[in-house]
Amino acid sequence: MAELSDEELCQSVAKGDRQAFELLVERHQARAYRLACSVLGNEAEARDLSQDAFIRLYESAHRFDGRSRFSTWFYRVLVNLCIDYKRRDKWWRKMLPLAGPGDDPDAPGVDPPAPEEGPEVAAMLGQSTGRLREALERISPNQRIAVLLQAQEGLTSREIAEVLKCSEATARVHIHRGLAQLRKLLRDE
Amino acid sequence: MTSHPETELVPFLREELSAEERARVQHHLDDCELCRQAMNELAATMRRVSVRLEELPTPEWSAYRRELRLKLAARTERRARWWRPAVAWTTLATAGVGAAMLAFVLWMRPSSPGIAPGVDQLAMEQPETVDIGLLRNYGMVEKLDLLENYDVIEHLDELPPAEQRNGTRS
Repeated sequence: MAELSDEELCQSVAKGDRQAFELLVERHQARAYRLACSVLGNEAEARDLSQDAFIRLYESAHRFDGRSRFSTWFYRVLVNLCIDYKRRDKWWRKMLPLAGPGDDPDAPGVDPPAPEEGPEVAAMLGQSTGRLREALERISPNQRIAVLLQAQEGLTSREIAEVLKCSEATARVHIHRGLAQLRKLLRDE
Repeated sequence: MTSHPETELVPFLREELSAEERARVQHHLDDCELCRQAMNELAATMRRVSVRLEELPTPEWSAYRRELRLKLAARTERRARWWRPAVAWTTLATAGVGAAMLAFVLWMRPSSPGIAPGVDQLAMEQPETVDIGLLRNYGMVEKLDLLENYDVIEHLDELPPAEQRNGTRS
């Protein structure tokens, strides 16, 4: 079974194959967790939501029609969960707003807003991964997701557009702006 | 020089562009030092992000999967538990709504039993409200649209002979 593609495993999951599901989880757990962690900026929430994405995968595997790659479909599920979570969350925890100023691809590039430096952020300063996480939190969510999907998962602009439900041109703008912002933020590293 | 193809630099690096787009960007890069530099910086940032993401702390995966299995089992159980009473409640609710509708229909039903009378019968039973003469000539009434000139036709015999009418006119 290990030699089966993700798409074939997903078809088996749709038929209730738990072994295929376990294998898909093993293949994608690290990426899913890291992506959720980078989007949400919180390890416990990332753990929880990435697991929820796998549960969603188990329950909706029959909806995967094979028109796109499995990873594109799955990351769309995961990103939607993260976005929904942040939408709900911001009401009572005042986290970063979902639509950041950099999300409008037609707007001129803007500098990221100054972060609210809590003790967690301060503790991360001086650590390279911590700095990256901090920098990622300072760019808009769509830019963050676009850059992560490209850098981490190697998704193409077209696939990222599918995940973000936008045009390919817009996805390219998100990638470009996100990388440009990150370069500026990480320059002094 | 054309405008800088900023957003196409990463797709160019990743070989995502069509042959035509690629040639256009390549042509621009040949002449634009600024874009070449920007492209190299974007590529370096992408590499750095990619490497650093690999360094992010990750959970202990066997514990992660165990937790996931438990969550999945709990969810399946919860759904099963919810489903059983759900079926029972749905059946009960449907029966209740059906009974209520039946009672409403019975309550709204006219008190006199039997089949509802036809229009003609109803008219005959309520003579004070209808023109009996019309009902007696119901066949004609049905053809009223053909008898638009009924008054003229009715008094045809009272008209003077044709010669007389012509004479009067002339």
